[in-house]
Amino acid sequence: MKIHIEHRSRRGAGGRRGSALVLSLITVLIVAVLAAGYLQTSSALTKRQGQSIDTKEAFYLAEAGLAEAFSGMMIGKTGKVGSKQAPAKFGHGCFWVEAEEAGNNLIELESTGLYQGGRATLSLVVEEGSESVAALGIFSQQALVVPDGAKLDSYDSSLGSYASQQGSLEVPLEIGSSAGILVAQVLLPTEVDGDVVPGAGASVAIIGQPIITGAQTARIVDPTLPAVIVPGVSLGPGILHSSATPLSLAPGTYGFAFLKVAPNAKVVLHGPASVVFGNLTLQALSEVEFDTTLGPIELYVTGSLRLADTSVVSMTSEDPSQVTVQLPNVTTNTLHSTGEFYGSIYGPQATLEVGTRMEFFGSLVAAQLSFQPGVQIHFDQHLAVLGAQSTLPTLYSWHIMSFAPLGPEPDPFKVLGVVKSALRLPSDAHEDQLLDVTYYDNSGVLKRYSGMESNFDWTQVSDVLDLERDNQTTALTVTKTHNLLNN
Amino acid sequence: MSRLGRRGYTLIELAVALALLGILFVKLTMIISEASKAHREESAGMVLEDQAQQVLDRIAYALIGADPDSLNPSSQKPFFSDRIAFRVSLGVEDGEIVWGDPEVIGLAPDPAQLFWARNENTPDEQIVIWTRAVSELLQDELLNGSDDNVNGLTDESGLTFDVDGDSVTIRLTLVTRTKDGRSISKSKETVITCRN
Repeated sequence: MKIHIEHRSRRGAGGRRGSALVLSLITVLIVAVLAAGYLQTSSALTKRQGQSIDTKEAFYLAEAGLAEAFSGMMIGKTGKVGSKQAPAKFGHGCFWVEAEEAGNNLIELESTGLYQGGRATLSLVVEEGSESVAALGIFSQQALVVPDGAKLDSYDSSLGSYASQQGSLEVPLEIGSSAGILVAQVLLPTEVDGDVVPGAGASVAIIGQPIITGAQTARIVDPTLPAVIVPGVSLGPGILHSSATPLSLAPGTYGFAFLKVAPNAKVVLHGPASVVFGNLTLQALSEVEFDTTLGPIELYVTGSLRLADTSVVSMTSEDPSQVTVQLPNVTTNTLHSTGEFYGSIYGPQATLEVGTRMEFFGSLVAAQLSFQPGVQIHFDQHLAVLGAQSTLPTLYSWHIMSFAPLGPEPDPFKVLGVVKSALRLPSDAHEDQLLDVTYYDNSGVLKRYSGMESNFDWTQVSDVLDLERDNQTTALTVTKTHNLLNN
Repeated sequence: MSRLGRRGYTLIELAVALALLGILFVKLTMIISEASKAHREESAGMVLEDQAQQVLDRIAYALIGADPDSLNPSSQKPFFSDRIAFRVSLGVEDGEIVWGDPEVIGLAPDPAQLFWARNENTPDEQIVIWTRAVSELLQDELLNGSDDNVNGLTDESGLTFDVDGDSVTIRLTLVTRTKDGRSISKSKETVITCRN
């Protein structure tokens, strides 16, 4: 009996266990299939979204690279930041920027950003700023004489007229030279309301007791005067204007072999204009008028500029930024006219003499500048501000070059074969640095250099006393430093 | 009798068991069906959102290199447009900017289709449909002359551009229908600044 019961129980229990297991398995299988399907969908989406996010991050990194390069160019750097072999690390990714000349004063920056599986390359074309010499104020490359009775001072045309600022404003003036400067007072009071800055190694000589309100310290490095670029226009035949009817020269870009204005004749130049003259001569009692009502006038005189005594120069505007006279060649020029001249005159190779009858407002830079006794020159500080703005690079063109995934390897540092911890930060990865160094050269002479490091010759350095890169002091641990600094 | 009864189940036992199993099966089917439906909707929503983001990114990348002066129409809020014409910089050659052929992004005559075209209406025309799922109206907007979704635009379509200087605001709503006829919509919005 006992045996029978056990046998019966075993049969019944066996049938029940099997069906429960099958049901459970089916249920688990269904849930597993659903979960797997969901997981697959999510995984595919996540992967796709991840790629999209990586590309976007790489895009932002490339943009950061362009911003870093552009800001570097604003302070004179080359625009190159890092390289493919040694990119700049930034966040969880990295970038490098290459810079190439693109003609017409353009620089093309190409920035590549890498972030996990994303890679983006952007291009930015930048127009380099033009060199400005307006900040030099009144400058002669050769020795400068401030004669008896001269009055040299400054004002700011953006704040009002010169007369309205008399005694109320302290606007900095710099009278400079790459050689020595002589300030003389013999019979009449001579007044220089500002700094008198001779060239490197030169000094200021004084005769009598002229008033000099500023410093007389020599400059450390003499400036280089950039050459004038004359517009490429073909010159028309020369004009000799002797009629009583004024001759009007229309706005535009054009040129003439010469312009000679005879006594009692008048020529009116209308802006906006860019005019090239071979020679420009105003004979006695003739007149030239600069009409800048509609725009500025740029005058290029490739030969000589001669404004005779008793000739008249008149202007429609008292804004010196509206008239620029450029003298590109080695010429002798005289400004003996009567009247008030508002503008800039720049002749990096020219000799320029300014007479007493003309009151000059603006900036004057020439290879050799000379003044007649009693001359009155008022430097417009606003020209320096405008000049500084024009030296900044400007954006010319921007475009996306490529978006490309990095491939199966999601680590950009491994792809490039670099160690992240060994990479530099963007600010330290520029190809060039602003260098300020005080040193003894190989002859034992104490010198100081301030400028881009790429323009500095380290081989002439014997001992470094003080060193700053990008306004950050660099610690010096040895005396003979230049080899160390180069490494 | 007793031996046979002990060996199997009674009819009642079997009926109860089958009924219970049936209820269990129906419940399980319902649960699985609901889960499956929710999964499908969730997946469709995710796919749609992903698609909306991708299309928006494409539009943004296309417009970001555009010449702001070439944007046409340059409708400013509260005005808007469902298409925009532009041209992008291709770089510099011989010191001059090289501009690409005119491009257009907008809604096709079938307003569900968002297309990109180059040299539109010329023999060199190239057209690519970027999505076929654009909603008739932007999300939460009704065709009633009011600004229902409080974005400053009235009765706006599923794709809108409004231009403010160098900036372009892009709004996009995509819509899709599930098998049971329910509609799912996803919206994206971004503002880009033309770099040129």
